[in-house]
Parts: sequence; C-alpha cells; structure tokens
Amino acid sequence: MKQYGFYIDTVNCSGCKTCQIACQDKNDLEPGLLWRKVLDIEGGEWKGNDGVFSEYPFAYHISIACNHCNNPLCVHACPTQAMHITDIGTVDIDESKCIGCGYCTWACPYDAPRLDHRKGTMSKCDLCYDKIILGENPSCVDACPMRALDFGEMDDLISKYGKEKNIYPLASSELTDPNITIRKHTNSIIASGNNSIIANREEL
Amino acid sequence: MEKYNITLVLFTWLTQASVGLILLRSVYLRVSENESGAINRKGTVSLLIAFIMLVAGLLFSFGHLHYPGHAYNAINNIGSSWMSREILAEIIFLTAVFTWYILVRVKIRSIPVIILEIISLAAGISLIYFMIRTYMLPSLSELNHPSFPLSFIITPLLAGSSIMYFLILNKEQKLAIRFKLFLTILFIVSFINYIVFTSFQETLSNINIITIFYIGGFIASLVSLYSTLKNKNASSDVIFVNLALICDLLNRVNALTFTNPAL
Repeated sequence: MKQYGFYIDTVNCSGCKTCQIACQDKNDLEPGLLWRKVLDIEGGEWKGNDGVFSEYPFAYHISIACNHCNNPLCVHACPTQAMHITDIGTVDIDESKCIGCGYCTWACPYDAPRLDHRKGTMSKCDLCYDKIILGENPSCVDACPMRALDFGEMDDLISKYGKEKNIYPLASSELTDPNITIRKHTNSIIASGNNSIIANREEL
Repeated sequence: MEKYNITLVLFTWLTQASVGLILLRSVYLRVSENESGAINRKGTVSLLIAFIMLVAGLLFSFGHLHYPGHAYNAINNIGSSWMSREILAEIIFLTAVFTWYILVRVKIRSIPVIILEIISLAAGISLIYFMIRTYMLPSLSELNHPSFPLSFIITPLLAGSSIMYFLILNKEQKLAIRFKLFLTILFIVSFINYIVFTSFQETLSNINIITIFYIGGFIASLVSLYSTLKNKNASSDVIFVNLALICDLLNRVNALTFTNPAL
C-alpha cells in the first residue's frame, strides 16, 4: 500500500497562511475551523555584556495539518470507530458514526481533529482524497507561494528531503510516527518552552 | 482544543461518587451488621442514591456530545478505546445497581443479591480504572502523571464516605465518626494531591478560590477532630463534610478545565 505524506519546509515558510485559507476554501469550512494551521513560534532573549544589553529575537513558522500517522492515537481512542484508516493509508472520519465527543482531539498530539459545529461531528484533513486519487496535489500544497509544502509518497519524500520528523514545539514523532518530513529552521534548534511561545495561539 | 465541558466534570464526579457509595455501603453493612435495626433501610437508601447519581451523571455525559444521535456507536471500539470500555462498564454498573435496588426493594435477599453486589463492585472498580485510562493520554501532559489517577481514586472514597456519614449520622454515631475520620484522612491526602497536581499545570486561573476552600476545609477538619475528641456533637462536622465535598468537586473542575494542551 502506498503511504502518502507531507513535506514541511520551515525555512522557506513565511507564515502567510495561504495554505490555511486554501484548505478552508476547498473544503468549504466555516470561519475558525482549521484543518491546516500555521504556528507562529516567537522568542528570544536579552544578553548583557559589560552593561550593554543586546536583543536576540527569533521567529519561524510551522504549517501543520493531520499527519495521517502510522500509529494514529486518534483511531485507537475513538470510541465509535468513526476515525479509521482508509485504503490509501490516510486517516479519515466516518461522519455517520461520529458522536462529536472530541476524544480524538484529546488523543492527537497535533490537535488535528476539529469539531465542525455545523454538523456536530469531528472533522479533519483528508489529504484532499478526491484530488489525490486523480493524481493531483492537495490544495494547500498547490497554494503555497513559497513552495514550502510538498506532497507525495513517503518513500519519495524521504529520499528527496530526508527523514526529519521532529521540530519544536510539535510532539515527539515517537508517539504516533507521523507521515511527514520536515526541513528544520535553524531557530527551531534553540527554541524551547523557556525562551519562546506560540504567538498566535488564539488563532489556532 | 475546546475547554472541557462542565457536564463532563459532573459526569465523572457523580459516577465516581456512586461507585464510592456502593463500595462503602458494602463495607458499612459488614461492619455494622448487628448494631442497628436501621441498617437495611440505610442500605436500600444508599442504593437508590447511587442509582440516581449514576442516572444524573449519564444524562450529564450527553452534554458533551455534539451528535448524541449516534451515541449507540460509543461501544464499537472496545478493542482499543478506553472510552468505549468506560461506557460499557458504566452500562453494566448502572444496570447491576438498578436490578440490585429492585431486588432489595421487593425483599429478595438471597444469592442473586450477592451476585449483583459482586458484579456491581467489579464493574464499579473497573469503571474507575477505565476512567483513569481514558484521561491519561500521552498527548495530555497536564493529566499524564500519577497525581491525576490518585484524584480519581480519592473522589469515590471521599464522596462515598461523606454520603454514608450523612446517612447514618443520627442513628449510628460511632460508625459515623469512623466514616468522618476516614474522610478526614482522605481530605488531607486530597489537599496534598491538589498541591502536587497544580504544580504540573500551566493554567492557574482557578487555583486561588480552591486553595481558600481547602484551607477552610482544613480548619473545619481540625475543629471537627477537636469536637470528636471532646465527645461533642459539633455542627463543624457537617460543615467539614460539606467543605470536603465542595473542595473535591472544585478540584475536578480545575483538573479537567484547560485549553489546547497539545500545542
């Protein structure tokens, strides 16, 4: 079975959120319902040298959606089996079973499943299933003006971009084995809970 | 992630309180078997209270479902979902307690009642375990530490002993005092656990008022202990028991109310 995934380039990502809007537009999502979201990580510190203080600010952005993990905790946790793995290895929701309890969101370390208030059921990125079976890219990938997102079979993505799956502040990839590969921003190496924050948390 | 719904807090608390009541009822009946003629009546009343709390908790649990029409699917994933297991245990527990109550009411006191008691206790203890596992997820760092399951063990015992205390207060004072002393120990453990638990939390908005209630409860517990040593019937006992219940409920609100833990 083919296993699809995303490549996320946090070096080139400008945080413009075009991917987020393209996703909302393609899937006709209500305002505030984000299947793909862009985290703005901001931080820094003052360093003193002989009475003179200099600022060392930094920022970077991470565009993240459902990672269609190989070990999807949401699928294990869902009491109704509405959350399931499809024939092409993506994680999807069967709305005819979902009770909208939100337990998949608690279980997901990426906070990917979201409540669709109009339907009363959970919803999430389906990797643009209707497009990829036609051989097209997901909308977010095609919309990105910085070419910071890519899509494909995981084997191809790993051979092209490497197999890095971890970046601050995302959860450790050991939890769910997400189908992503990441180009890490250099600032992400020094970022931690002590010197940086998710600056746009209220947007998420 | 949305804030946890208050209905979920009430569901967990009421369900755990009813499990604790059933457990301590069994202890009470065995401890006081020959002490009072009121035992059977108290035993029946405690079953009814446990059943009412269970039904209320179950109704509250529907409050956090956004599509309750599909609720019949909730036990589909017994194989891997702790929530499915929790719901199944809840159904078995509720059915057993209801049947038990009916049998006791029609005065059938033989083997079926003992079997129902065993089933109820097994289902109730399993339910508490499944509840703990439901919330202790790797993605919820605020709950994924030993202090959290301890709070889910304290609540049934604390609430159960409080209700038993009120039930037997006027007729079996010696036993009521034993329940109160047990409750005092649980309250102190709960207070310490609350302090430990909050050290894992990022959001501290509810802490001040809960701390004030806990300090109030602690003072009331000391006064209550003093009156017990002096063999006085003090109203501080009732105040202490009520404060202990309020503190535990507020502690639960604090534990299950936070935003966006994953990111």
